[in-house]
Amino acid sequence: MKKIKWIALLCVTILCLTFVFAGCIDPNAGNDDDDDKVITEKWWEDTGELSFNSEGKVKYSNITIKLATVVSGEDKDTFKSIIDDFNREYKGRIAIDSEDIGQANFESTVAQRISTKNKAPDLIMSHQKGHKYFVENKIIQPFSKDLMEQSKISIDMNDYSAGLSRYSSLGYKDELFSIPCDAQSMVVFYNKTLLEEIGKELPTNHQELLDVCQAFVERKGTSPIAWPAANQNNHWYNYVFTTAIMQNGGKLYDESTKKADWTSEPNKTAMTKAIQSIRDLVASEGVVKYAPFNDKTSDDSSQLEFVDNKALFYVYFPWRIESLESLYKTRNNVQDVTDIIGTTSVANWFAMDSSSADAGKIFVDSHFFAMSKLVTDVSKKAAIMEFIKWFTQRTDVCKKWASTGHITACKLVGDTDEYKNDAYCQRYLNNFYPDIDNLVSMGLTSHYNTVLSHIKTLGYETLSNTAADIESKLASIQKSFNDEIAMNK
Amino acid sequence: MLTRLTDKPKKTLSKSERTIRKEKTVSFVVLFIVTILWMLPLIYMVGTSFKSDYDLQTNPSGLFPSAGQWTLAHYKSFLSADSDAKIFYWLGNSLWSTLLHVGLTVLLDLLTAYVLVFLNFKGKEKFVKLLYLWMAVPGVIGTAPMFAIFAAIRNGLEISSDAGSYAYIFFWIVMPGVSGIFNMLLMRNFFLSIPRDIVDSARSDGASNFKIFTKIIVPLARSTIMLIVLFTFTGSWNSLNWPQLIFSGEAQKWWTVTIGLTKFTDSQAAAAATGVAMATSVFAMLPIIIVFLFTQSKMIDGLASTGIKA
Amino acid sequence: MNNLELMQREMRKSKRRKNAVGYALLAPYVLIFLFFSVIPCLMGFVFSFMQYNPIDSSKNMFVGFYNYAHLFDFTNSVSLKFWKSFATMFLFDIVMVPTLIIIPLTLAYLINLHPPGYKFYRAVIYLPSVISVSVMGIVFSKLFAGDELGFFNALFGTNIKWLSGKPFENDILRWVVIFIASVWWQTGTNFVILSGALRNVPKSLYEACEMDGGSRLQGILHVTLPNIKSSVGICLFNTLIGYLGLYGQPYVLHAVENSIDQEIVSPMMFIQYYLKNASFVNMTGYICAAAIVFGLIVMVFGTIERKVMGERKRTDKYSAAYKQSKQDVEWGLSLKGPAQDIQSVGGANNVNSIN
Repeated sequence: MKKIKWIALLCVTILCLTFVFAGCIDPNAGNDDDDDKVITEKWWEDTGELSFNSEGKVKYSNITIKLATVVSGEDKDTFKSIIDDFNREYKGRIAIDSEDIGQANFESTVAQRISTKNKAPDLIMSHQKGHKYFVENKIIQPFSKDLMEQSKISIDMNDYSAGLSRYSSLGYKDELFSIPCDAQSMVVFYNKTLLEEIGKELPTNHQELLDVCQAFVERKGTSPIAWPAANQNNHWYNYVFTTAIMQNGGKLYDESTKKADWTSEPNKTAMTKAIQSIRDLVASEGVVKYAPFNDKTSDDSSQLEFVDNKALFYVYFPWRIESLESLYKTRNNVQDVTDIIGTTSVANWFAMDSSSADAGKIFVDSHFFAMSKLVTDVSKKAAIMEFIKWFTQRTDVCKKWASTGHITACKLVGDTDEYKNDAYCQRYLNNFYPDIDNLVSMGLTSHYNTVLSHIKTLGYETLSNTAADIESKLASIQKSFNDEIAMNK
Repeated sequence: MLTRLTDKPKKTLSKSERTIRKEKTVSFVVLFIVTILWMLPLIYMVGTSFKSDYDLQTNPSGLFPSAGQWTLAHYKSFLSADSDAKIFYWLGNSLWSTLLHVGLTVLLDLLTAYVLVFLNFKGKEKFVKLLYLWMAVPGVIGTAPMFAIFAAIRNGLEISSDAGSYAYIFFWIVMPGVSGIFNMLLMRNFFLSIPRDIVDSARSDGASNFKIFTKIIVPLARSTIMLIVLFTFTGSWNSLNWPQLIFSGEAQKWWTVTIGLTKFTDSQAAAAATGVAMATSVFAMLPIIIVFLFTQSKMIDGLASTGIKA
Repeated sequence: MNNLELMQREMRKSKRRKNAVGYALLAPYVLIFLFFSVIPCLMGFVFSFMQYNPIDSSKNMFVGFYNYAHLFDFTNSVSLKFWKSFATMFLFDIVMVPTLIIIPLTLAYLINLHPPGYKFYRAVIYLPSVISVSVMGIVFSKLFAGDELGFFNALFGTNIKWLSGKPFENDILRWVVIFIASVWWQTGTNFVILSGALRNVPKSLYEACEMDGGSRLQGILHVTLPNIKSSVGICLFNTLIGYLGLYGQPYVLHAVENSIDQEIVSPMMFIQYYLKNASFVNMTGYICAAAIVFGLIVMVFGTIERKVMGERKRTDKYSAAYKQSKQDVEWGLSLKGPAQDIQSVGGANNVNSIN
């Protein structure tokens, strides 16, 4: 009996030791995060062959493409109508079956569906921030250059916005995983009459913005900037705060390690300046602040401030235009608002150094197209590429899509006179996004969730308490950021 | 003389009578106040659901809408056809899944407790011991792996139809917890207290196990069944944790009421629509209250007919 | 073959048949139990020693005590969130759990004096327990809304931000609201159980005490409390386990600023946050380890509670519970209002059977 006990004890000890040793090895060593990876093993397949018609173009017969799109808000109807246009044009050849899934759960829902092969979409149209996550978890497959040559449907990243197309490889050398489609961010509506009243012009840099605000406060006694409450639904943090960081040359995370590096120069100064520039607005001297931070509890009340002529600027998403204009007309009893409501962008608003190259940057979220790893038939793949090309490179389609506030990411369209002179673009888009090469997005990190939640914490900690010490906040939140990333590799 | 004799006991009675009366008054006062306070949130909820939007802004401290500001608009907004009346789907989902869960739990507990008490087979006692031990293990340990199993089996089955997905998801809503140990042991303990002679005499009369089960045991167990029904009904109706995990990303029409109503606390925009939030809550509460009103009368009848003494 | 052997063979056959019948009828329970209770827990145990990615299985690997080492590494911010959430929940529970015994007990005692209208009071006090937690959240977040539209703010003309603040810094008001809401919502259950228990204390004992010259207070101490001990023990157990798994109330009564640190105030919320969010898939093994550590702590508390309430033989507790419950149901049925069911507190059943 004693012998058995000793053997048992020995086994248990050996087991415990293996556990301890296994625990000492870092499972993520060697998981390099560099953005020049090479694919060694394919996780997708190619089946079938392309067939061509007499003109040498690919022949499609009744291919249905299931599209999962994140477009589910006020721009949903326009999107549906564009899809209907495509289906009409390609009747009998390609049909798009589009389903919208809300932004909150998009990445997790689609990832789950594709990995469990349950109601999996073929084509994904979603925010760029989630695409690195998709590729890291092998949810999507690249667009093959060979197939592009074969099918003569070529999509060249040089034709797209430089700021956005650099993400298209998702970190894999010479591969094309995601194709940019459009961009959107928070934009600025302003009241031309009020601006004239205070005798000012549109600000072109941060200091001028402060001057305009000061003049408005003195003249009108109400906050000049109306924007949605920061605690509403994270939009303020995800677009305005990040823009402020970009404009001051800040980096949300270090591109090679994917970790936050907010405490070493020059990033530390950049982040501090960004926070300072917002503090100039939300903690300005005097009883009336230039802009609220957490004061309003409803999204619509900030709109009301503008519409009731209490605010000079209204910062929100471009697809609000219609409801904004009609609300203004009703409440002020006017017929035409073209001379009253003007449009501009947040470019240069937050840059403390107005001469820097970053000053005009705008943080956007951009819709990118990606193909699910489950698509195998090459005709279907070609059909998908044809649709993407149609959607992103056809000027009439881009104009229609632009009417909801989404500026095209494709220079082939954006540089044409037809696009630029389109009434909508002239009145709005060109002012909203003065330079599409200056648009930046989340980039190549699969930890977009960590980035956004920590940026939110950073913004909240330093802006709700404007006396908080920025340096210590940067350090502590950065630590939390990096710990979470380390656990989540 | 007689009066004297009756005088003495009268004095003692009236002393305790006085204390009792004093206590009753104190208790009455306290309970009355407590009850008023308890009813406050519910009155507020109902009253606010009828307030017009204007009244919501201008009269937030009133429990009831001010004169002329009563409106059914909030109810209409989610009950009318064009709002795709999700509340009905939610209530429906909650109701049928909870009732199924409760029904299965009761049946399984009856069956298993019967087997453990009235049948003899090898390993019976060991199994019961194992159950007692396992009761100490909290369910939270299993949440993450159960989620992984849920997803993995879904992958394996490759369900493509909506109906199939719905059935699969609700399988995972209804089934976990049916084998809850606490309830089963409760039933078993009740069965243990039934005098053996009833069963033995029935057996010697030649009754099969099935007959004994249906004709004798089940009727006797009415009160324990009620207990288990009540334990599991609210637990299932109210569960937030697990449904939240498996409903994420699914169509809103498939949600249960508890999850559906969290929309009003999650999103600030929805929360700002106070009137609608209150109206929806009131509406969601109605079925529960109705269900209990109905089952209550049945329970009194059932208990009276089986003659279980206090 | 003689008669004895024949008989023995017959007996063995019938025994085997009996066993077969027993196993067959037991099978449904065993299968469901294994599949939904045992296997997930065992898998959770296994996953906690792995790095597990449910979406991309190529990343799975065995890592021994790695996850546990990280969990107990107090310099790791993520683990710190776990332990901090444990601390906030525990502090809250110290206040909440006794309250949910004392208040129902007091109310039950008062009700048992049968003041006029007691049936109505019983119904009203019990009613909130049948409401779903999200309804409770909606009502209380409006009652205590932080702006001037909140009921209490409007009533008193104040602008107190009730539901805001960070744990350990300035969110005490939020916990006050959660406390009030929980008392309102869950007193009913324990109230019903304890009321039934009080009623079943034999009156003769009270009389005996009075004969001995004992005052009311002594009557309570020496007669009432010892006799309801088992019911109090059950209520305490259910409440304790339910509140260790605190999730619903802080979730629906969340702070308006909505930042992560404010969201994770209990271990269940920690686990749920990292499970719900798909971008944390790689942390699944770590979360399983956290769940196991948390589960062990819950088990420890459960054991301490049982020891303290003097329950040695488990059988006794359940026959006590059964006796109690039988009486409770009978009592409950005497209610005419909608409140006549008995339920476990805070989904205590969730602990033992995943709901």
